Amino acid sequence: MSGDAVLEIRDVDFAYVAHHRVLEAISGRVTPGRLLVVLGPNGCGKTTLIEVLLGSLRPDRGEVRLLGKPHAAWRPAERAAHISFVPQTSSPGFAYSTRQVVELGRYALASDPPAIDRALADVALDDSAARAFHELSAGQRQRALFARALYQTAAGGRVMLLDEPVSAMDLYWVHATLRRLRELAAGGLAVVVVLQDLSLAARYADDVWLLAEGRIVAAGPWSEVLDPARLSSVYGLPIVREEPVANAGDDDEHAEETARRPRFDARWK
Amino acid sequence: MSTSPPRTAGSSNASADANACAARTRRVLVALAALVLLAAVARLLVGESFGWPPPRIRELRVLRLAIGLTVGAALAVSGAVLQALLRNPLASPYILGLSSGATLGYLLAGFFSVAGWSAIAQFGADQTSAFVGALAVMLVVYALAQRRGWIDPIAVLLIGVVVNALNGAAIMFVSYVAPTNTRGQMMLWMLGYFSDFATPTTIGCVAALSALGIGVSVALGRAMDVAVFSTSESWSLGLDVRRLRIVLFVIAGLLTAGSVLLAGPIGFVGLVCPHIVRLLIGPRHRPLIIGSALAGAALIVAADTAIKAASTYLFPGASLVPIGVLTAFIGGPVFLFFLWPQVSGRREP
Repeated sequence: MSGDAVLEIRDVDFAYVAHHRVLEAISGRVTPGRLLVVLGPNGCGKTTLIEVLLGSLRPDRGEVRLLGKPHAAWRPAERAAHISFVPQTSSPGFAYSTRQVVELGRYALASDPPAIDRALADVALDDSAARAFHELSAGQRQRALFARALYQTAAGGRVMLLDEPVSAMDLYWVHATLRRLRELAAGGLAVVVVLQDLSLAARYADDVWLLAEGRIVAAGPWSEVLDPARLSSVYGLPIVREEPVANAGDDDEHAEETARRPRFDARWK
Repeated sequence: MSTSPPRTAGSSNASADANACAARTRRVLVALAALVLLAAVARLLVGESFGWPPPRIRELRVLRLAIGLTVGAALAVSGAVLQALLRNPLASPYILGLSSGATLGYLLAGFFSVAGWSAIAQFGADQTSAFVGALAVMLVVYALAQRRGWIDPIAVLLIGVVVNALNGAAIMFVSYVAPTNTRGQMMLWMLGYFSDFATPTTIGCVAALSALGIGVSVALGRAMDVAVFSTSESWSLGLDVRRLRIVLFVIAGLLTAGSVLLAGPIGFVGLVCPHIVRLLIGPRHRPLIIGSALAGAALIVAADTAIKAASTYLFPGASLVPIGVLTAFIGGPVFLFFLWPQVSGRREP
């Protein structure tokens, strides 16, 4: 089967309640070294797809394979060594410190305290390590959850799944986080990230899966999938593609490359 | 210009040391252990005659002390475990309907027994039926709250509430049809009361079972730290969520059923003790379970000692106040005292 796919999803259907499919006939491959963005309107099944890929939701039909083995065949600790997950939000209900939350990234793996400090410093929360996680702002909590996944995946992870990880972050951290994800992908990690912002997707994705009503309507390199006519049809309003101005780049190599990518905007009628 | 992260407000001191935290945890646990010791010694000294008792009396007091230690530790740990399982800080051992199930089992045993109501009149004669009632309710809640073998915390809460209500209705009905002269005893039992009929063997079995349950809970402490996050997060961190929930459910059920067997349904300990310990040493479950066991044991033994001292020295001849009444009287204000800084510090928009 899969060649070099880290995750492979084949012909998957999923329903929370009978006869109301949230995902239908989903197939695709997640490959190392690529940043895959999952896009689609509200309620189209993006979060469900991430949790099916993660294995925490079991499909009604079809299967998901991690490194060639079905999810059910993995022992939990082994699986955690390969796959990490960043939810959009998290509310543990008890007053764990930010450091304690990050530390749980290696609950099932060998702990490495200096790596916790590095992960916290990466998201500039080293000063807030002792603060209660639930007292952080929504954006800071998302940074802490990203730090937890960074700590986990630094132990040799192969794939990271992220569900709208930047939805509450300020502009600096939106770009810092997505740039970090590109770096991780460049280092060989497979990254799957759900986003809402089409321009961010265009700027940072290698590949895109576009979902609508539980189905993948287009999948492939970002430049092929992000077609204004197709996006307009999926989102139900006219979407235009805007080319960036020619001299927008700065002296950073990556910023120049991504600065040449188009942006997408809505034309509300 | 170059990029750098925006400044944020409210950062605390970075090196808010793990070391200071660990030292504080140790100090609190040692203090709680000292409290248990103090309460235990007081319990051995207090009785009809104050002082170190002769062997026969000592044996009775030791048994009563053993009940207090076991019941207190079991209820507090059961509360802490359920709060982790249900991801809800307001969960208590009786949220599963176990105490009402135990009470119903106890009353029904009287209802159907050959001896009829006289079995209940002989207070505590058949506590086994209470244990069976609690376990039966546990199985019913499990059967209804599991989906494909997964325990759903929300379903456990909802079904626990429903089962509690149904048990309550059945208890009222049985109380209504019972002869008048048995109602006082029933009420006494429902308030929580140390059984005078518990044999050393029974106490030993429940204590061993509770010690096992508490030991396993301590071993699972780190897993519980993970389990208070969402199912998907716990799964991604490498936790076998499905198995852990079943184990925690069984531990909480057995600890509660065992304590009900020895002392009837004593309220508040399972809710209050984990909270107080959490406020003192934080939410990590390994020290929390140990601290809760110590706090629960100290609270129950101290309450039992106070009741005995009051009825012996202050109000000679008065009957013993049910321990459940006193734990609620102590627990309520103490709970408020510890939680007040948090409650009063909150701001509504």
